[in-house]
Amino acid sequence: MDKPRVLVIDDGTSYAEIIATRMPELALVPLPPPHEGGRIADGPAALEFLKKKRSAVDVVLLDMHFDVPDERLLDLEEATSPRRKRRFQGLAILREIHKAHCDLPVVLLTAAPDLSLADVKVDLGPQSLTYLLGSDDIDALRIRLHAAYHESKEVQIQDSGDVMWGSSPQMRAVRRRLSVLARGRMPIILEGETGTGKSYLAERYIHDLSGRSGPFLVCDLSAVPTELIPAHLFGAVRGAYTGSVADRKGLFELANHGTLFIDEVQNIPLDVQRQLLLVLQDSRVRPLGAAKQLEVDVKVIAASNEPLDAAVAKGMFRPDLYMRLSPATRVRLLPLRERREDLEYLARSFIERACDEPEVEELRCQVAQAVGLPAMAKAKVRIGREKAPSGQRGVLELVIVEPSWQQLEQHGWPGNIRELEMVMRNIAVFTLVAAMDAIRQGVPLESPRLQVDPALIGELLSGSTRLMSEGEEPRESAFDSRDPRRLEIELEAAPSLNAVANVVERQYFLHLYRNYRGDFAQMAVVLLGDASKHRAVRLRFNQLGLKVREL
Amino acid sequence: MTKEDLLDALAELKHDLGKYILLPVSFLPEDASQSEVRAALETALMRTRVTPRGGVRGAEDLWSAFSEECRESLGPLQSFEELQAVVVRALSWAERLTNPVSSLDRAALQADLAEVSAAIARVIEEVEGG
Repeated sequence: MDKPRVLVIDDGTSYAEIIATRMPELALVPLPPPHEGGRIADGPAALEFLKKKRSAVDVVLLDMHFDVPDERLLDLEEATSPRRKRRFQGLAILREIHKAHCDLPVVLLTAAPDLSLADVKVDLGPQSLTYLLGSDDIDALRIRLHAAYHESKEVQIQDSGDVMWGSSPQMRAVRRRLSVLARGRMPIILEGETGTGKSYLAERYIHDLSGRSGPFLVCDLSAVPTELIPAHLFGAVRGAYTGSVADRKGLFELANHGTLFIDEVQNIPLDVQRQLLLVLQDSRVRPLGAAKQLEVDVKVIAASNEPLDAAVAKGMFRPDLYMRLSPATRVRLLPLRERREDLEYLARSFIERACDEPEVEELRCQVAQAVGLPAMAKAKVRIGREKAPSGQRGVLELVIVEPSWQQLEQHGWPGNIRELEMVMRNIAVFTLVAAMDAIRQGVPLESPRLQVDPALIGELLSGSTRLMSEGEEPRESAFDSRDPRRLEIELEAAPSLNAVANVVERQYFLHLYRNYRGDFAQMAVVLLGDASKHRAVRLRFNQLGLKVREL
Repeated sequence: MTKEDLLDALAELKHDLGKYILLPVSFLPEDASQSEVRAALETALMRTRVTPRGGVRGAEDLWSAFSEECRESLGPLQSFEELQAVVVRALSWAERLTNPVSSLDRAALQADLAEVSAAIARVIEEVEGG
């Protein structure tokens, strides 16, 4: 196996010497003159080198303090004096590397145990920070370098599988954190807005990685009447409650040796929260009406679409349960708008995956054949004027023109990954259908490039933009205030019936929410004829991308 | 000197003297020979800083430059007095370099050199606290 190649950026030669003499399992990146001592001595030279030779580097080892001439210092806005710039030059270099090569792992190293980052605001993201103080720390450095290397490789491997992490530093940090938390017995708190992929990650990443032999079960309490929630979670013996005609296993028992994903944990009634706390403390459940407790070994993943500490502050969530779930294992999944650097990668992946799905594949094959490609030609996305990479002949290209791409980039993506996936799938399907329609009508297509209709993108985005833009009201022209069930809605044509239905449903839910001042039980009466189904209403409300906090 | 200037100067000293005086000896292999220890000591004290600016500076030179700049501001501090004593002790190991037959106690040498960085840290702490 090839050795990981380390680029040392350090004003002195000591670190390069340590790698060369003490870490034979690593290789220093060969450097052309005038670089000496196995390292690059300052930021500008390092950035220049990486611009040309990024592919030659697996990991960067970066020093913090650079004693170099003023003209070789990168600017650091927090530092005004050259001395201070030297002291924290590593941070300036790290930022520039981040900007230009966000996928390149960097281990930031200092021999100063008193290094204070508090007065220099910087988002270190997933980068390792290592204190190298003495010979005992060589292994610490070795571990950091190898971990950074393998992490970056794993990201590429994982991305080829089910979970698409992207390469934003934040998501790499989430992945690294989850990979550690998945293996332990501690519960995990997953926080994130609707559509950020909490349940998907819980099943496809955390559970898979946990090595647990039991099943992955989802606890969705939105459709369970409040009085049956304890039996649903912990089980019940026959006759324990009215209508209980047989023993019933609870989710904890069913998920034994596996993983239990509790969605919207913040909505669990307070008395059930107390029972949940006891189960987490003792790893035992007592089914309703049972004399004996059952031992259970379940990894709990508690998901919430609002910060749980805020729910604690509002008195909606027990602080002792919050502490038992352990705030230390809290992981926040970023909304798409906070990881825009991943948008292009995710958009491409979703479109290309959609084209490979069985129900779309046949269509793709037909179009490919009609434009003179082999039937099994793959679909690839091209954005703007980017050139087709060499070796990509024989593929069916879906071209998103620059203005359309800008529109996608500027969109707020209130529905996050879920919304992005739906939009991209629609882009794939509609573009292939439009091409096939043209072919059937005898329109001769000469090129394997299909331009995605800019109007289609506008229409796909317009639904959520209309409703979710800050301060924008839904298009209610009038409603009968005497009967909240009546609402007049103005509609525009949308590309699919599903999109139309969503627009209508969102407006209706919003209208009911306002009319009943946020009382989901009353909304449940109007919608389902049953106040106890308020959880189902709340769930659908969230699924539609509506947020109580913002209303 | 302002407090911020002083802290920057101390950080520089820690980088130039505290770090580079220690690394060559600290990262010798466990089974390093006496001549390897001697070579490392020579690097630590005589070629403490080989900078990209092209200069080679010894530990004594680095210490003199710092003292000249900051002695007045740091003079009253107890931790600075201790630092001076620690640096003198570390620099005194240079005498052994002139005597090729004297053996070097690596553990004692390493402890003395490591103490420089720790003593600088204590000065930084006192300046920050004051």
